[in-house]
Amino acid sequence: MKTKESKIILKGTGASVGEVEGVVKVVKDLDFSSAEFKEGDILVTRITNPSMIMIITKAAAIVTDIGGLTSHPSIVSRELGIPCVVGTEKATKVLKDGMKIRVDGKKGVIYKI
Amino acid sequence: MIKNQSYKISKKQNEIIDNFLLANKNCISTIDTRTVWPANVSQIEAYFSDIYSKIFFEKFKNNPKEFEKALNTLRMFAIHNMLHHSKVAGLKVLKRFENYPITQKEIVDFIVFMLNVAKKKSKEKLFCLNENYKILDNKEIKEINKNLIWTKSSDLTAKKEIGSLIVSLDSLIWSLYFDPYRSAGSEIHGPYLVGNYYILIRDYFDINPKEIWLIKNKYSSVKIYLKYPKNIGIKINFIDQVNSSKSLGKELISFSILVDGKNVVSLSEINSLFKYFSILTESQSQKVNKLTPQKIIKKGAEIYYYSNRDFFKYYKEDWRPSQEVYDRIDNWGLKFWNQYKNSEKVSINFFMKLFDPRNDFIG
Repeated sequence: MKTKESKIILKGTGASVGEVEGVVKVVKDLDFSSAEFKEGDILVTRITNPSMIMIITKAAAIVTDIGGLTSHPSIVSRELGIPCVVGTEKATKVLKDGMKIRVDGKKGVIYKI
Repeated sequence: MIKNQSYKISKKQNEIIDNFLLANKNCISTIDTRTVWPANVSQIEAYFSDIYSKIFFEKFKNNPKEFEKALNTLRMFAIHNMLHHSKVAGLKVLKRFENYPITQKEIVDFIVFMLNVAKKKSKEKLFCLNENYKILDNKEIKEINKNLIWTKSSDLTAKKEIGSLIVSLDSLIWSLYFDPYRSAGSEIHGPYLVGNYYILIRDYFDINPKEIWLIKNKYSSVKIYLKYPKNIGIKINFIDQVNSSKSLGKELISFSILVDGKNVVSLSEINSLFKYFSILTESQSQKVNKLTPQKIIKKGAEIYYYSNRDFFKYYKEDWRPSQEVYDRIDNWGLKFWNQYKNSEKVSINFFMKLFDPRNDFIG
């Protein structure tokens, strides 16, 4: 899936295998509206928590600032079969709403498209 | 280690403690301590770990046989969880700060006793060191497999529906019991090899805990049986956390779902359940997210005690925390909440020393 245009913009721990391309939606606080999150968006957040259940199940992939292989985003991603990269430390700063990215959940790498 | 140690620990005791520490090390290596929601263990249990450990120790000292029977009312996950949390630290605090007459040898003997009870519950290698969490033997799992109605999850839509249901139930458990106390309402066990498949069992045995929350869930329990190919690479650790080298969602072969004992087969029913549990989870976790730190600590204490309710019921005692626990939380304020906030990752070595009953390290 690699193209000339894609470059690595973020690295973390690959927590759930798979590769997907999509549009970033950053969720920064707990007061979010699940209606604003579209099916197939890539969820970018500091760390997921159970209140995000509705958007998690719509997400094409999850990328977080913190987290390990048995943290909430890792566990839910493997059950849903979607790629997940945790522990990037700065996903919510580097990735912006509307950005097109590719998430590689095996290598733990995010590419800008 | 204690200087001038005047007691002897047997080779067997040392072995079981070393295995326990290794099991904990394996868990902690996959955890980011900054992510525990809504608070980490120390932020809650530092207020009462000595009180809680004292309850268990005194029952053990008074009558070990009765204590063993009471402990056996608990699931393996609940016992593992207690040992992984502050059971050891609580005894050390009792000894150092409360002038309680307990020796280091007594701490070791008590913890080893609990470890042996936990060991007997497992049908696999000690403390899930081979990353299998088995509480059923081969005969039992074959019988279960034979009697279940299995439905093939033939396409990606079906797999996604099951995955979504599992995620909604996992998230519901998290929201009801907080990340550290999932043992209060769920236990995941396996993988069990049956023929050419691995079976994983997700037992959400208490999803309607009315004694600790004002909650209206029309369902009380869900059990999900899942079949995967042999190369799925499922691992379950000492504190019942599931990991896998392949995607569990995509590799699912077949499933069997029981809701309050009744079979659920159709995807539309499964989808309805997913929506129902998701709405419940969303509202429950929003409730938690709005709690003040002090209320989180008090609720955490309540949930932790509730997770071992069957132990207290065996003794015909009220499982609820004593007034002393609530008074401490009120009087000590946010002292430990702030102290143990974990804005940085905590090292594995710290935990290895803390969990070891052979020393007096508290931190």
